Amino acid sequence: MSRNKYSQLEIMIKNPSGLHARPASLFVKIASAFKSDIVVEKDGEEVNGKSILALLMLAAGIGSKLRISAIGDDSEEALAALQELADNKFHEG
Amino acid sequence: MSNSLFQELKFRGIPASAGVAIGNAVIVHSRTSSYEDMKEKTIEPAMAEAEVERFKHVLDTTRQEIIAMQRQIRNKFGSREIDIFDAHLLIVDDQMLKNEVVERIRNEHLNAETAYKRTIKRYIDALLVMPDSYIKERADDIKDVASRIINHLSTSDKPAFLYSAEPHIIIAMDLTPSETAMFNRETILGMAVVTGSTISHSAILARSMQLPALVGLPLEAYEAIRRAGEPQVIIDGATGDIIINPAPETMTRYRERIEQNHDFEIRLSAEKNLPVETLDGHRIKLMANLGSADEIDGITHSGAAGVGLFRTEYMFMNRDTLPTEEEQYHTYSELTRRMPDAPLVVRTLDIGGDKLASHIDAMVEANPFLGLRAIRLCLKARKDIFRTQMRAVLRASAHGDIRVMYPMISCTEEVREIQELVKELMRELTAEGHAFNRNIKTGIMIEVPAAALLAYTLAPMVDFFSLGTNDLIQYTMAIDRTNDRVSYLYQPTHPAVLELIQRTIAAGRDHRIETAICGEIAGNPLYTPLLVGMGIEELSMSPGSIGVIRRVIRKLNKREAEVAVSKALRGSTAEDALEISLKMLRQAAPDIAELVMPVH
Repeated sequence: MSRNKYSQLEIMIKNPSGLHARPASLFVKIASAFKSDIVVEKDGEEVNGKSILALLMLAAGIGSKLRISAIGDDSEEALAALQELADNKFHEG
Repeated sequence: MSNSLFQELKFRGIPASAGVAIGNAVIVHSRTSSYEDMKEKTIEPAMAEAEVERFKHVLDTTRQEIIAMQRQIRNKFGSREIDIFDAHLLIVDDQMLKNEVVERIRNEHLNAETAYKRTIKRYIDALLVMPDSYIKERADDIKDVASRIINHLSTSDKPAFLYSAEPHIIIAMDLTPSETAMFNRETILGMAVVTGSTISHSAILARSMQLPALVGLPLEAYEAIRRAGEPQVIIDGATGDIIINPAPETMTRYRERIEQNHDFEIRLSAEKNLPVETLDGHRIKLMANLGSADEIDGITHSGAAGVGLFRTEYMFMNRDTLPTEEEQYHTYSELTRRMPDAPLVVRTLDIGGDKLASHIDAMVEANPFLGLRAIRLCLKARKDIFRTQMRAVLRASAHGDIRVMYPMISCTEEVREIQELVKELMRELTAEGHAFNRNIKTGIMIEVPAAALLAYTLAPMVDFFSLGTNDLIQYTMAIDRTNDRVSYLYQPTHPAVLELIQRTIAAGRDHRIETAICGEIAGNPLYTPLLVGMGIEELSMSPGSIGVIRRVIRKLNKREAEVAVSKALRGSTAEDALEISLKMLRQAAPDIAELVMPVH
């Protein structure tokens, strides 16, 4: 896998209950569908975006800002998919 | 010593749901306790790789188990509730967690369950100290998965009951309503529980699933089963008997009983289409109580005239989020379509007391049964939930004979407030172009003594009454029905209780509205003579009881029953009234009188 491609994106958590189990699991499912490594950072803490436990540890409540980095060939596609998920408030309207 | 382990032993608990079951006992532990109670152990370094393999194998088993459970629940409740299991699956397969556990097994020489427990504990502890309460609650999801995995890893604890493929009998210290609601009916033959009463929700659910069950299982019996390594047992839900390690003669005797019960069922179902009327021509409507939507098949087969009580609270349990208007609309519409022309009485959310859904109201009250439950919660704290539910009920009323009923009414103001709100919702729905039945029949539950005493004032405000006798008895007698120590005061035939029931029926008759009973006494033939004598017009019960009650009613004479009631009301004890009812039952239907047991 090429390590040259690197993309980054910032999202804001907009669903009222934050990044709890259900939205986090959607996130992991989408992230895991791509070959790229996904790293999620909140307030300086970086975790593996394909680990639900790690994401839950971020305790990202409503209004939290997350910086998502993807490293790999399909990094752009991965970030586009994650962006869409966040824009849709993790389907929790 | 080894002898006594395999000896036949007989104990008696309290009968909770009739029927005989024979099968292997499986002790189930509350899932939350097993995770923390586990003992830590180390292994020989040479065993590390084998231990890693065992760990991976258990992850596979757990994954399959969750997928199976997900499928089961999807069939039962619809699709949205299963999302949470997706999260559970991701926790099982979490790469970070898996690596850390494997590393601990290899480097610290811990056995798999200890390594897993220590690893997961770090995450749980971290979540528990987080300020956001919603995120904090996610610790429960992780604990749930952790307990499941650790349960599989430790040989002493059998896998929990949700997914065991072999038919078995559940033995437990305690079962929560949500645990009972997740039973797999394909493989569970019956259950025996140490705590709880016959009107605890687990017992009620067992009856609605027609599972033989007993409560108040003696601790010695529980211990004997544990020591004997989960042996074969027989439970008799009609007598409360449990036999451990039954001898061959005992087995034969009970097999015959099962056959007799089966024959009896067949004879009863042959009467399915006969009119439900007394010998002197008084008709009574028999309806079914419905817990979850998938029980509807049993109801259509039972010969019930409709659903007299749909307990909507189970739609709100075992899940993370509230059911949406669309989801509820779909469920109610589907149910009413399944029973065209038959009434479907939807009871609005009755939550609080012993039926808690943590995401609805997390407040801990000192006396939940006297607290903000049912309609109180809906009107005072969670009007949003009530509005959503009522909009769904109203919209579904366009598709069939849907009626709505409000639980725990204690004053006229509550009824007025509901009526105002319903008017407002109707205006809303009209403006949005939704169809609904503008004349939807509206009833209230009479389960608070104040409402029974106020029945003459309440009757002109509504279209029907439904006596919720389980709560009416508990509130009249001032006892907590989940407290075993005062269960002796749970007396359905106490003269004061009978008087409140009679007053409610009389008020309904005077104002020409129907009065039904949907409490447990409706489905117990022991009380049928008294209820018929008091002039009840409708009884709603678990579908399994309909055949028996139909037969009893067809053999009773209403005139005679009225005389018996006036005697019972003059009596001074519950015992006297019960004796009078039993005597009538013995005369009318001796075969059924043999089977009955009072409600405890």
